[in-house]
Amino acid sequence: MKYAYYPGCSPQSTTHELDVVTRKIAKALGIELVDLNGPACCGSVEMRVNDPDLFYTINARTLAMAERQSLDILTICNTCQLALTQANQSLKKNGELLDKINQTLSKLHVKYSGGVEVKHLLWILLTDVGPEKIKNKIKFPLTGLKVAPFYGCHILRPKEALGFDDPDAPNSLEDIIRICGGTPVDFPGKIKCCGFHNFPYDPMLAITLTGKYLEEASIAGANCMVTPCPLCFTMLDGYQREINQKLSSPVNLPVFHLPQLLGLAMGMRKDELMLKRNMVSPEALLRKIGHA
Amino acid sequence: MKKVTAKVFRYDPSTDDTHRYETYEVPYEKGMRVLGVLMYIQENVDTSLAFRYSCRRKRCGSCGVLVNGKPGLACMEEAKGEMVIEPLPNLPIVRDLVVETTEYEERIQSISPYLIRKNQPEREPEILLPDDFVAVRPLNQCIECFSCMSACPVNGLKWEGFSGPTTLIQLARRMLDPRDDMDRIPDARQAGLEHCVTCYACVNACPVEIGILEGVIENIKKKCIEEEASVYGRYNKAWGDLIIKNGLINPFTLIRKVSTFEKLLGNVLIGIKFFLKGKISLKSKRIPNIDEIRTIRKVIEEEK
Repeated sequence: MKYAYYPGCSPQSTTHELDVVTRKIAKALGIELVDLNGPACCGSVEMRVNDPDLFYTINARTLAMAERQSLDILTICNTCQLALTQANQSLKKNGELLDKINQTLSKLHVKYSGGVEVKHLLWILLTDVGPEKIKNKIKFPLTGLKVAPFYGCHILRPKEALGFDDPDAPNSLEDIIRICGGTPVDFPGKIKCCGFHNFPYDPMLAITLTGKYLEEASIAGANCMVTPCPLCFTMLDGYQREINQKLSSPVNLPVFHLPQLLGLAMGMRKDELMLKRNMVSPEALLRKIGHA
Repeated sequence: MKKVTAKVFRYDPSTDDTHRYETYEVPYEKGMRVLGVLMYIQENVDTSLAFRYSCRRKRCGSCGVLVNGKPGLACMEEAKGEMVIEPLPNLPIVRDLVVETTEYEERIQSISPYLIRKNQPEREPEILLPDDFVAVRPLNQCIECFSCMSACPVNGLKWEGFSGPTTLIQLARRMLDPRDDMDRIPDARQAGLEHCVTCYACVNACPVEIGILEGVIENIKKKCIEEEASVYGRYNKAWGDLIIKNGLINPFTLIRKVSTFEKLLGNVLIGIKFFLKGKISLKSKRIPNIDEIRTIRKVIEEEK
């Protein structure tokens, strides 16, 4: 099992721990991650609006890097997943667009032919790796962890582009939580938006939205949260203290990156999982469930 | 006989202190829709159940309800298993499933939802080519059922200054119409499209499948960027500039570039906290082959 690895911007800066831990759990699960040579930012939804030519070209450049090695791409960020998928689908469907972008890429002696698929780590875990293989690696079932799954938007919607989970009733994160021995906790906000993309110019909106979901999860009985997206993670974990200043009943919900939760269940040490970088400390919770 | 169970929201503000749910078992017929369930209940069980409908075929937009928490049209949603049927959220309830939509209608009225022509066409009859209407045509399908308004998380917060996705569809219908002469940028600013969080909840909810985010909101944003009218114009430009400079986005630099001084000041404590955890760096990471990105930019510029 071999993939071209696309970490994206956030795991190379704010959520560096996600990059490190992804590599560790991938190795443990027999996923070989091949680093690409300087893939650029996916451009997110911002560049698609402002500069579609650049959006398609830089993503075609990344896709071509993977194609050269006959590999599909593995992503660990919802927005990277969506941006790369949308660019890829447009290039595959629209021959005229593909020709135009390849014309530009020819200056770099690069060509993309449409032979790559883009898959999020969450999907790869449940399909290519498979639940049985993961179950065999579980050394410390997370009994006692009541985990609220927070999907985020760009791994669910638009369904036509992504199509792995039912956007109104997803269950892949719940499956992972169960495999890890935890109990999934349902709450309405699990499929909603953290507001990250508006944060730079409307921080209070993102804080209000995220606060609502943290509160819902806490009321539903969760003692922690897991997310497959580093951008959602930054809002849920990084701003929880600021969020608490707005809530009538402050919450204390440790938030895990998807690979951190898996790593805990696979018996990895807390320092290996870089849990000290999480703003809301999971120490007390992990002590409670007997994780050394 | 096969049955479906409907747990229906009931509330009459003129007599009830609070709402309640009543559960009904309804005989299932092949192809049955939620509207059929509601009509059965009204005709056979409780004549006082209030709900709206008219065309019964996805044309009028009257029968919007929540089915198992998701907004949709009662005439199109399949009746199955156990369903919870509730009124559209965030609106005053007239009775049971009937909501008062005046607030949304007034928001639409505020953007002058009609074509405004200052200049007469060059000739009569005016020649209008199909290609000129590619962006507008799907938007004409909007039936104002307010499903998107109900799904939008920002509208759900009643966020000040945000007029919601239905209003933006109606604005885009005029803004993108080649016959419209009105400067719609002030309306776009007024409608607060910078509060859209790009979550695609509106797209997911739209029963007539309008690509609201890409076909409406992003198209309005493009117009605003062209006119350099907006905060998101600055944001999007900063995003592109950083990619050309480094190939990657350093969130610290992005926020510094797009925030106002007041907002930066408000973020100082959070910034320090992130810095101490090693989550932000003053020095931006750069991809090793940044020249390739700059070459791409140069070629695109030359082709323009």
